[in-house]
Amino acid sequence: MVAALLKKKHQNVCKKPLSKGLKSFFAVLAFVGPYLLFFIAFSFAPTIMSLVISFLKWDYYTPAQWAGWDNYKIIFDSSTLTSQKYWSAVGNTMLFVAIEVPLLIVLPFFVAVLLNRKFAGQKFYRALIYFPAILSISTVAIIWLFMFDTNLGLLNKIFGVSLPWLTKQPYAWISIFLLSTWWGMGGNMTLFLAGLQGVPRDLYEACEVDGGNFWHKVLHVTLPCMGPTFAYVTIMTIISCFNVFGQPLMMTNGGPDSSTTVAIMYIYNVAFGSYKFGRASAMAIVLAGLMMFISIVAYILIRKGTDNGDEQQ
Amino acid sequence: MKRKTEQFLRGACAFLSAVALSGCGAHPSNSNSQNGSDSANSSSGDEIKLIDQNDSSWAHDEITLRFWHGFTGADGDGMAKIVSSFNKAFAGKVNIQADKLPWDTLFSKLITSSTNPSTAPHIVAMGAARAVGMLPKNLFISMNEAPKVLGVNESDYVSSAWKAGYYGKTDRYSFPLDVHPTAMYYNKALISENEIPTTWDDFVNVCKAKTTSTVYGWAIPNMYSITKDIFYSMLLQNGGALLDSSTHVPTFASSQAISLLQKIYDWKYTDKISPSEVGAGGDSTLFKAGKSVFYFDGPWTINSFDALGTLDYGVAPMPGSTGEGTSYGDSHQVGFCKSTVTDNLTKSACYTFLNYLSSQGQTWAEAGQVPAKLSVQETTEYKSLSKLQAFTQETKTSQSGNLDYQYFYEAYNFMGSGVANALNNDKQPSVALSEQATKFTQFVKEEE
Repeated sequence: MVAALLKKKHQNVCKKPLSKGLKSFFAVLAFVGPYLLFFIAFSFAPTIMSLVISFLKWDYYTPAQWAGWDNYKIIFDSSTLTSQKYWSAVGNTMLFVAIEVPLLIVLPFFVAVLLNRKFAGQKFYRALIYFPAILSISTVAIIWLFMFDTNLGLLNKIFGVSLPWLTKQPYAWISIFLLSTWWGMGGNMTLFLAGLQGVPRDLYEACEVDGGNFWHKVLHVTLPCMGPTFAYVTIMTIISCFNVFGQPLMMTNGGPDSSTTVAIMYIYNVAFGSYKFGRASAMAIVLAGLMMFISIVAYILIRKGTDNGDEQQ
Repeated sequence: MKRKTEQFLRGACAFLSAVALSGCGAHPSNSNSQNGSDSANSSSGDEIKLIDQNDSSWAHDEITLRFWHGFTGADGDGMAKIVSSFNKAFAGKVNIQADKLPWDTLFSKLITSSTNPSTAPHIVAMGAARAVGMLPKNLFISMNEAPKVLGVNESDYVSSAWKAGYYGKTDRYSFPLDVHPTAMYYNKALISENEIPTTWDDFVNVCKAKTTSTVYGWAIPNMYSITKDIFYSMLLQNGGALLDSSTHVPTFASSQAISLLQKIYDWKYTDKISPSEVGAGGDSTLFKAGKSVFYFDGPWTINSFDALGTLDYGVAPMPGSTGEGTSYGDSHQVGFCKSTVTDNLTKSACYTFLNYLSSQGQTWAEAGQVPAKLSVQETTEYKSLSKLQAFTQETKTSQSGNLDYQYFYEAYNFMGSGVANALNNDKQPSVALSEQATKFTQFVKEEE
């Protein structure tokens, strides 16, 4: 009798959480499902496809052949032109990432801090700084090409110089950095502004009571509270900078002497210029690995920094 | 649970691999050679002939053909006009759905759509220099019957454009639409017509004489494309070539080629007929601003310069390009796609459109191109397009390069990089050209 009662009780106990669990599972699925479908169709499946293709010799119009590690070997064989060009392009991408990521984090952050204060025309300035982000790269490049023209460009006229902005290094890179910062600042500024809204006002007041000035507030209140926002913005900016393509394509077409040819530009040329989809996929996989490694390291460092900040608080 | 997840992942990978392999492997009809026997098999049994727009006995449904091209400027408007008038004239019989794509997009989409007849184009227009690289991909059908169907022969067309369609083979794979050599634009406010040079020696002397502190003879681009056309033309004028005609070994770094590039380099950096820094579009900007006497470009620029309304300019043939001389001139060709043009009725419709295109030479000329059909060039109406005449003159002797070699376009670009590296003062002409010739050889080795 006792055993039967215990069994019934056990069944009831097990039944309730199961039906609750199912309900909650379906609720989660309803919310996550549509995104999950898109993720599988447009991110996960293409990634797996790309991985598979990287082991094939495939030009799209003739049957694919198994290539084993050949596509990877040529990338790592420094005596080949393919390897030299690829790593040179990856090096150019790394240079862009190393310089542009800090620019696209530090500048938008301080602009966001300034524009988070209440003053006349605050919304106008926010819109003004965000405005370039809504323009396409073609439009942005055309504007800057006119500005950077060595002989008749606005920049050289204003400063009374004749700098070869688009034809010589380091000016070619500087012009790409200027354009990219102008174009990308608005997006990150908006993210930082959103993060700033979440910083408790009483912390600023406490800082003021302790005699803190503007910089004290930024260093001891804003920065420690913005850890998750910084982590998100940094990772997204690193990924978008690794994928740089339009700016050098439109501004310098990879020149002078391939010094602004970036990895995605080269991979695109291998895929859609030479129709070597296997080789291009292998290059993309190697680049993705590199991108993932750097993103993880950056994330760990930021989390560590934030945790330390929290502990100090 | 772990085991099930593993099984699921394995299954997913196997499925995706199968999709990838079947997707890229399911082209049993594709062979690697263009053997000339791949003309469309007749599924309808109809004879290949031009469709009469007034044929009242037409017993078929309207045939819809997809036509892809990369004419995006004024020539794009001209092409849209031709397509529209064709669709009106052949309503109920043939309908052309034209897609205007940037050239690079067109080439990549052409490849990726080639296995899907429901999205692939029927008709494609592209430069012969790019089409030659597409031939080994077996995308086009042979068009050996074209002269018979269209009722034309070689003497009706610009010779180089007619021959370009054979790509060094015995079968024809495309049909000429136009020829586009590079000519010399000059600013009439800065030079009179009787001062126009006809040789390169005269050219540099005129440039030196015209260069002042505010005006240059010719703004020589540091990195961008037109200098490679000019250098290649100069090479051809001196009996040189891009590649050896039989072995296809690069010859653009010969001592003769190096001395020619050194000559252009000296014009820029020693004679200073040009600013030392001319970036993307800088040569055009300076010309339009009245700061340089000469500017080199293809015929498509005529309409954009005319649209400015303020620029008083003329066009003369490139120095050394007429009479005994020559210049490099590519030709836009029209090809029919293998995956879609599979029966004679479709083929007839394609030829009908091609015939109509050829008959609209005047519209095409007004759009800024030199029609390859000679009868168009001889009309009074065509001759009234005065600025196009310099290009037309050049087409009499222009050359289209090593179109029998699939890597011709790549060789041309490697040469272009060498020219750019020298003219940007990054490397000495000899080093710049030799380096690119070596790279091209290595590129071919790694492609094959």
